[in-house]
Amino acid sequence: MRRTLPALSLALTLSFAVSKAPLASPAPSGEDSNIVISSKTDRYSFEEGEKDHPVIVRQESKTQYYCSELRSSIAWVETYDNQSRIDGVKVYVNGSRDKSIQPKDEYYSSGDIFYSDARVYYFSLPFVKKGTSDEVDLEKTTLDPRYFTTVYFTEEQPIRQKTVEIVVPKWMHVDIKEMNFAGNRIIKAHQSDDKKGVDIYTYTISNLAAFIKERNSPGPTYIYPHLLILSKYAELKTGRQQYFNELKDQYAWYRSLVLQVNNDAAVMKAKAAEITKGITGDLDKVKAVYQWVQENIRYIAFENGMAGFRPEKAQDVLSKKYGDCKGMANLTKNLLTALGFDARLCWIGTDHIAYDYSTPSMAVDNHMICALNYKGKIYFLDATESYIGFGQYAQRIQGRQVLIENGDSYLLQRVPVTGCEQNEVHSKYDLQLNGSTLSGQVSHVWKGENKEDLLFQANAIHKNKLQESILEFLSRGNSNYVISGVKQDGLENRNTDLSFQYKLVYNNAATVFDNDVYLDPDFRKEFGEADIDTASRHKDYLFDCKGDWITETNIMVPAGYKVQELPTGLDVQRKGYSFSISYKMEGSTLKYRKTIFIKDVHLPRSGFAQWNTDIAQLKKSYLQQITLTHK
Amino acid sequence: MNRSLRICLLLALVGVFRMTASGQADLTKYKERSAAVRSEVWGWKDPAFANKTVPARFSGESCVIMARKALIEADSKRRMDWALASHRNYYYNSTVREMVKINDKASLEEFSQLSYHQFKKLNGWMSGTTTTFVGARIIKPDGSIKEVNTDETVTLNDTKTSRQSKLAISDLQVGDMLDYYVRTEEYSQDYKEPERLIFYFGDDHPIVDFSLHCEIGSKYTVQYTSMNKAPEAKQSTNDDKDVILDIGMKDIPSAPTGFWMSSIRELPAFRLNVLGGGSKPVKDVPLTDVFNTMTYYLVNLDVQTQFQMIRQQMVDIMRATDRDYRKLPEDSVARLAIYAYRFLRYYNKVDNDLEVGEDRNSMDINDYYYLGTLQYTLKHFGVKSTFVTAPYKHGPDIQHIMGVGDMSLLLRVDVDKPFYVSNLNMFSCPNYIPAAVEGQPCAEVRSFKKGDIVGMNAKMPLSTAEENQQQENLQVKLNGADMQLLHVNRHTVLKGKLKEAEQLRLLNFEDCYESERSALHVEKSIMDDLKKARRSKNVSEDYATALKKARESLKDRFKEEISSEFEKDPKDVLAWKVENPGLRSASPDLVYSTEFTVDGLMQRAGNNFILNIGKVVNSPLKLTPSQRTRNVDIYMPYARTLDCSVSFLIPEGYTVQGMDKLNKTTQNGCGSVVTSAQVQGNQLIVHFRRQYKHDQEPAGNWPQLLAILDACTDFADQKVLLKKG
Repeated sequence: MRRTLPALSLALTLSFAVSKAPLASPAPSGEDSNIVISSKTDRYSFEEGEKDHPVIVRQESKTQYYCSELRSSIAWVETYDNQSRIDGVKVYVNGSRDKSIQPKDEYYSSGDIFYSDARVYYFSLPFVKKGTSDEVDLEKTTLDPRYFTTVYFTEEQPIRQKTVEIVVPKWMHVDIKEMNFAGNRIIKAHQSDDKKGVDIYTYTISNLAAFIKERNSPGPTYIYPHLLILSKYAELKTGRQQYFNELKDQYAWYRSLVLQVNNDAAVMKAKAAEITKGITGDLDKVKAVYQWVQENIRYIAFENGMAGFRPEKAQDVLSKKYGDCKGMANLTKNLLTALGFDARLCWIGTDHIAYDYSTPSMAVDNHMICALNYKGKIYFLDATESYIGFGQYAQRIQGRQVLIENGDSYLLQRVPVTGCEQNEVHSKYDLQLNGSTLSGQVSHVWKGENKEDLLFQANAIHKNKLQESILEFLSRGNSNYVISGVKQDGLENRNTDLSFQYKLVYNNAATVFDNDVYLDPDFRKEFGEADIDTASRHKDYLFDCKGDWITETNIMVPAGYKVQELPTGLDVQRKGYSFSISYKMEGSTLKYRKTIFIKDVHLPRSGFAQWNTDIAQLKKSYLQQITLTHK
Repeated sequence: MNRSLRICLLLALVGVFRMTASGQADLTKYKERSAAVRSEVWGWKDPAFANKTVPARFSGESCVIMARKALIEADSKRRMDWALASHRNYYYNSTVREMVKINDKASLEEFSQLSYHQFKKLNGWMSGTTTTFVGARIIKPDGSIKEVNTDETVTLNDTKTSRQSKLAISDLQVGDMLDYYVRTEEYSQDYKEPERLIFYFGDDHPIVDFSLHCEIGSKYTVQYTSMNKAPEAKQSTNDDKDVILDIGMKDIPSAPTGFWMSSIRELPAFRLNVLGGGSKPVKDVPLTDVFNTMTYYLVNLDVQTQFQMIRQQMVDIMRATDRDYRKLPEDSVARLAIYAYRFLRYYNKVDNDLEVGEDRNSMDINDYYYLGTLQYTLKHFGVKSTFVTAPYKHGPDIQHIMGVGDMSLLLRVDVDKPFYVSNLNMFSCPNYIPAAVEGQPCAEVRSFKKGDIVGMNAKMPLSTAEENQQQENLQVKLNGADMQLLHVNRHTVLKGKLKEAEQLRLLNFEDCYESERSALHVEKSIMDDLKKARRSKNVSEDYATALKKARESLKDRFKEEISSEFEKDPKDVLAWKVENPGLRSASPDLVYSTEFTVDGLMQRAGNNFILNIGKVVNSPLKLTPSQRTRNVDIYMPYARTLDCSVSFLIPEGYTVQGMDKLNKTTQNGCGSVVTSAQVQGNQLIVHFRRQYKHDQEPAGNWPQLLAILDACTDFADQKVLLKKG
C-alpha cells in the first residue's frame, strides 16, 4: 500500500502571499520566529482536463516570507509524483525576481522506503537581511482528483495569515471535510458564482504555529487543521466520471487493481505444501505459512505510481524473497488459499491516520494485510511485523477499520484491540543474600510486541556477537552481574513467549555499613527516566505499545538479620496507566512486587503534568533501599 | 553494516571517493557493456571463488567472506580531436568481487541491497565520466546458482550529471552464498585525478582469501607500500610494459576491537597511489619526494599577496599594543605578531551566514596558507621561523608515508627558546602542539636531492599525564529541603590536550573575539565596521541578533558538557561561566564553572540516606566481556590525569559512614587510581585521582590498564551512608 508521507502531505499545501508589505507582528510564541510566512494564498481549482485525465486540479500558490531577525535561508520544497506535475515556480528575493536560483529536482528518498516515485523540487531561499521579504509563486497540477486528498493549513514556518480557496465547478461533486478546526480561528466563506458555474470555498486562518516534528507523536491528520477533500464524481459533457462517491467505488477501484495480478496457483500450491509438510492441524498450518513469510520475505517499501496500489504477483515475491506490504499480504493470502483456507486481502490505515472508511479517500489507508476467515472467526495476518505471533496484533493496527475483499462487495471490520497483557514483561528473582552479594535464580518473560521488539534487535545482531549482547542486555551492562546457565526459549519461534532463565551472582548488590545491610530490590527500574520535558514537548505522546511490566523479587534474609523498616509502597492509578510497588515480609523472605501498566498508549499534553508527578514518585520509590540489621 | 555502507566499503576499497562522473546514459550501450563485464568477471579463473567450503574455524561467524578480489586497471591513449588538438585519454577501472557466506539475518540484511552511481560526470572543467556496473548471483546450499536480475535496479536519482541506483538482491536467504561485484570504469581527458587507495587485510568478518591484482599502464605512476606485516606485493611487467602488482592474504580473522585501536597502525594493509604521468613504479615512496612536494607547495604559495592584505592592520595592532614593539625582545615580538595574525585571520571576519555559534569555532583555514603567510609575516617583523613536519599519531607511521596528506605542518619560531605554532583551530596559541602529532618523528621541511636521506631523528615533544590534566572541584550540597536532589557548584580546569574538544564546544565566539580585541588594543569592533560601511550597515542588526542567539545557546552547550561528563542529564543548569578561554600561552588552561542540580544519586533507607559518591566523581568506561582480552596495541589520545575533589556538605543531624572503602590506591606502570575520603567539620571531602601515564601501550600491558579501568568502575559503585542522629 502506498504509505503516507506526513512531511510531504504538508508540503502539498504551499501557497501564496497577496500582501507585498512585510508585516511586523510577532510569530506565535515559543517558536523560531526568524522566517515567517507573512501571507499565503492557496487556490485549488477543479477543471476539465483531457481524455486521460478528465478532471484535473490546478493549484496556484503565492507565499510571502518575512525575515524578522537576521539574514538566513530556508529550504523551499515541493513534492510531486507521476499523478501530478509542477507547472512553474517563480522566486522573488527582496522584491526582485531571482532567476539565478536553480531548483533541484530529485527522487524523494527516505531511510525506510526502498523506492518511491515521489520527487522533490527544492532550492535554498535566501533572505538577504532582517526586514526583507521573499516570495515564491507555484503552479502545480494534480492529474486525478482522487490523488488530491488533503489541504493542510500548517506550514514549515509560522504563519501570520493564510487563505485557502477551493473552486469547485457545479459539475464536480466534492465533499470538503473540515478537520481539527477546533482551537484554531479559521474563518470560512462560501460563495456561489452562478455566472461562472462554480462554488468557491474560502478559509482564512491567522497566527498559526509551524509544523513540528516530534518522536512518538500522533500523525498530522490528528493534530493539524486541514481539509479532507472527497472527490465523489464529475458530471462532464462526456458523461459521468466516477471517483469515490461511496466506499464501494473506492473498493471497486482497489479490487480492479488486485484483479490485474496474475498469481500462479500452481507455484503457490507447491510452496504451501512444502511449508506445511508434516503439519496436520489447520491453525498450525496457518501459523507455519505466516511464520514462513515473516521469516523469509524481507520487507522493502515500494511506492511506485499505480504499482503503489497494486500488489506484486505472489510468485514474484516468493521468487525474489522481498516485497512490500501489498506483496507480502498477497503472498500470505495465496499460500493460504492454496491450502484451501478462506484468506482475503485487506486495506487498512494504521493508527498514524485519523480517518476511517466513512470518508472514502485514498488518504484513509496506507497499509495492506491479509485476513483469514476460519470457522467464523477472522484472524489478521500482517507479515511486515516480522516477529509478532499469530493472533497478536501490533499497536499500529489494533482497533483500526479494515476493508476486507469479499468478491464484488466488501466487508468492513476492525482489528481486535488487545489489552496490555498481550505485551507483558515479567521478571522474577529468587535470591539469597550473602554478605554484599545476592545470588539465585532469575527468569524473564517477554510477550507480544515487547517480545517482537527484542526479537527484532536480536536478529539485527551478528550471531557471533549475539550471546555477548544477550548477556549485556540481561545484566544491563552492570559488571557486578555474573550470569551463568542461561536457558532461553522463543528466540526462534514467534508463536511462543520469549524467556530467559539464568543463575545470577550479583556482587556488591548490597552496601554494608557497620552492622547494617542496605539493599536495592529493583534491578531494571523501568520508566525511571520517563519524565517528559514539557518545555520542549509540544505534541501528545504515544507510547510504542501497551504493556505490563511485572517484577517480583524474593530475597531470603540471612539468619541473624531482620528488616528494620520496609519502605513505603507506591500506588498510582490513572486511567491510562498505573504504577504499583509493594514490600512485605513472608517468614524470612522479603517480597518486592512492582507492576507498571500502560493501558492506553495515548498520553495527551494535558496529562503531562500528572505523568511527570507520577514518574517522580516512581523515581523516588526506585531510590528507596531496604535496611537489614542484626537481630 | 547496512547496504549503503557495504557499497561504500567496496568503493572505499577501490578509492572512488571523488566528486565525479558521466554524461547522458545510453541505456542500450550500458546494458551491452554490463553484459560484457558480467561475462568477464564471472569468467575469472580464480580458484578462491571455486571454494565453497567454509573453514571450520569460521563456522560460528555471522558471515564469512570466502573470497575477495580487487582488480585495478589503468591505461591511457593519445588522440587528436576534431581541431587537431592532441589529448591524452585516461582509462581507470576498478573491480571488487566478493563471495560471502551468509549465516544469519543480520548479515542477510547487510548484503541485501546495493546502492551505486550508474553514471557520474567528472566535476569542473574535466571531461570525463565514471560508469559503474554491478552483478550478483546466489549460490544455494545445493550448489545451484541463480543470477540476480540487475534489470530490477531502481533509479533513485537521474540528473544531467549522475544517476544513482539501487538494487535489492533477490532470492537471498540465510545459508546462501552471495557472489557479487562492483566495477567502476572511469574515463578522463588530459588529467587523471590521483587515486590514493588503502586495502586493509581485515574486516568485520573473516576473509578466507583476499587478493589484489593491478595492471597499470606506462603513462601512470604507481606508488605502493605494504604495512603492518602485510605481505610484499609481487611486481612484474607484461608485454605492454604495464606494471603488474599482485598481493594477497589468506585466512584473515575478523578485525579485532575498535576500542582504543588504530587500524592503520595495526591491521595489515597495502597502500597504492595511481597518479597521472608516467614514471617508474615506486615501492615505498622516499620521504625526500614527500618533502620536495611539501617544499614545492610552500614555495609556490602567494604569501606576499596574502600578507599585503593584512600588513597595515598587523602594523596597527603591533603599534597599538606597544609603540616601540620593534624594541621588544624577539620572543615578545613573535608572540605579539602571532596573536595579531590569528586575530585577523580567524576572528576579525564576518561570513555570509553570520555564523557565530558553535560551528564558528570550527572555522577552518588551510594549514599551508595559514602557516605559510604567518612565516612571511614573522619575517616581516624580523622573526625567523622554520616549517616542520611530522606524521600523524593515528595515521600511517613514518616508514609508510605516501604523500603530503600523510604529514602535518607546523611552524617552529626560531627565537632564543624556539616554540611551535600549529593551525589546529582558531584557539591554537604559541607553543601548543596538537595531540595528533605529539611524540612523532619530525624534521624541518626543505628540498632534497636525489639520494639524500631525510633525517627524522628528532621527535615532537610528548606531553605528560601531568600536563594533560582535568581538575574538577565540586562543592555539593542538598538542594534545599529535598534530600535526594544534589546542588553542585563545579569548577573545572582543563590543561594541555584536554582543552581541545571543550574549547570547540564551550567557547562563545563573541567573548573570544572581544577578549582578543581587548588584548590587542583593537579599537574598532566588527560591529563598528559593519555599521560604518554602507554596504553592510543593514547587516549589523542581524549580526547583533546572531551574537545574541549564540549566547543563548550556551546553556544547552554546557548542559551537554555536564551530561557527557557525568553520563547523566542534570535536572537543571543554573549557571555557567568561562573564566579563562585558554587562548594565550601565558594562561593556556581552559577554566570554567558550572552550577547545576542532579538527582538519582541519593537513595533513601528509612531515616538514612545513601550517597552514591562514586558516580559523583567518576564515570568509568564500560567494557564488554570480549574487550577484556586483547592482542593489539592500545592507542589512546594522550596521557592524562583526572583530579577530582568533592566537598559534600553533610546535612545537619547526619553523620557519614563508609568512608573506609573510599581510601584506595591502585598503581602500576600504565597508570594509577588513588582515592581518599575524610570528614572535615561538616564537610565530607573526597579526592579521586586517575592517571593514564602514556598515550600508547603495548598489547601486553592491557592487564595493567584493565586494573586501572576496574579500579575506576569499582569506585563508581562506592557509596557512603548519611546516618540520622
